[in-house]
Amino acid sequence: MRVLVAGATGAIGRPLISALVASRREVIGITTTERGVQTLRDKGAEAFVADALDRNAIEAVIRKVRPEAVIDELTSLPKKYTHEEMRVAEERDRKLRLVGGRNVRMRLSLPAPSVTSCSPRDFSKRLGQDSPPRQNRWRRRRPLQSQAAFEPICRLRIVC
Amino acid sequence: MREQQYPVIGLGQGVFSFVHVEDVAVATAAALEADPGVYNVVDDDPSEMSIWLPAFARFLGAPAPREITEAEALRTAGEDSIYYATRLRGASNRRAKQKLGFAPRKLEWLSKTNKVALGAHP
Repeated sequence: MRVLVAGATGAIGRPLISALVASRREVIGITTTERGVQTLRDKGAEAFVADALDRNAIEAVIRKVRPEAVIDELTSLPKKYTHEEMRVAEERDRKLRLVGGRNVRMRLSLPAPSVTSCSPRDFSKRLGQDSPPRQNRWRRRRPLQSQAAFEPICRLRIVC
Repeated sequence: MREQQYPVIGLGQGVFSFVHVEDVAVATAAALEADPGVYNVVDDDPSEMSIWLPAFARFLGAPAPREITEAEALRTAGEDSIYYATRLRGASNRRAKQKLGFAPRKLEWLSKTNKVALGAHP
């Protein structure tokens, strides 16, 4: 199985890449740095440099990789959990999860996500507001032509 | 923790679920072939903040966490922190165990120190 991982060099991404390689999947990681590329290659994965917030860049990666599964581990949390750093990180993290997450789960012809997880911070933010973004809601909002462009790829499984 | 910057808020009855990151990695890989659905990938010891936070401090050899009221937390740390400390409910990993073969390890800092906190015997 060809598995594309976004957030491939993060706290979960790094051990995840190792677990996927160990279980004999074909693993491709997305990273924003050359150092990340090296980390991924050292672990036995392929690497692409792309910013998850850059829709075109992610689209190019997905076209090239043609993954059978996408795993979304995107976060942008601070190194130190002080109130100040958390405050700064909050908006950045939220944007990466929502916009970046939407990009990496780009409108292929998708079944429902195989796994969707929400960290507790999402619950507190969303009490009485939007429910967490679900694949089917999101798909309805996408333009039709972009879905069509990805039809041939495969049935994708999304794990996030 | 060493600077006592992370206090117990109110009664600290919010229940947190922790998990080792290596266990998360294995469970996530297993999810690729599992039935579609929602799986809580958390360990077997959901714990109230009033238990796990002092336990974590002990594990680190840090001073015991301060205790502050919800009103004080609202001023200094925001409403999110109160939600975590008092409302969080923890999560069940039953489905992950059944369908992903998930077998979380005991967390060293939580299990050892919990025995102290709860007065349980090894």
